[in-house]
Amino acid sequence: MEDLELFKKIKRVEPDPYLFTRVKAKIRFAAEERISWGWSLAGSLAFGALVVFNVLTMQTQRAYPEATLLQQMNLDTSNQLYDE
Amino acid sequence: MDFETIFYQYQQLVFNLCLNYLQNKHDAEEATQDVFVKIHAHMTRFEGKSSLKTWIYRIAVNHCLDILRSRTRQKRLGFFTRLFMGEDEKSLDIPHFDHPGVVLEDREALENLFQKINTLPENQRTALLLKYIEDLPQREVADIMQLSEKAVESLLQRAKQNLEKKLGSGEG
Repeated sequence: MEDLELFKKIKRVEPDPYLFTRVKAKIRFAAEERISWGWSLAGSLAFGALVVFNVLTMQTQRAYPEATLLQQMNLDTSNQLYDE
Repeated sequence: MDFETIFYQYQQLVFNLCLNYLQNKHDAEEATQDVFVKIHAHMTRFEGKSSLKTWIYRIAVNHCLDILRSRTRQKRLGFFTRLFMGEDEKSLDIPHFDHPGVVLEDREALENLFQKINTLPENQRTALLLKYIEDLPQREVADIMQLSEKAVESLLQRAKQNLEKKLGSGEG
């Protein structure tokens, strides 16, 4: 196929001399981005754990109504501070 | 081999391959940078099952095909945007033919040939570019494409038939 012979006329081209500097900059940027993603993920996980801990604490407290809690801990509900 | 040595050894290969796929100098430079970022990121995972050159070719081919797929998506999206929102065609950023390896007197003929090649299926296009522009032996094309030599031969045959049809009918 003679049309494909046209490809032989394409010359090899030298890339830009600053290409390596640009590649190094992109690699650095990609690494920084990965680190910032890592920190964002860690922050989100910590926040999520805090929310779960709060929810669990609230549910545990609901399982013990106030009256039962007072009885369990032997707390006095009167305002009388001194025995007369 | 360290990254800098790999870069200087293969930069011309990667840049010219990207240029032949994308046919635009600016896009080819961007693509070459991204290919080397990928090479740097995956260097430790290179197992040496194929040669380094074949591995680099594979990364570059896949990256260029990804860019071309996103261009196709952009074109489709642009069509619908124009259809429903009446947007100007100029707002679409589809690059024009700018291949520094093509001299002025061959530009029209080669631009026309590349246009037809761009309409071929991905694997036919890859086989054709690697065999006829990169001038690689069929064995190496097969290694890069992870196919058998026979499969590459049949791809090339079909690519040439399709191209002949397109060139004959003046289809764009």
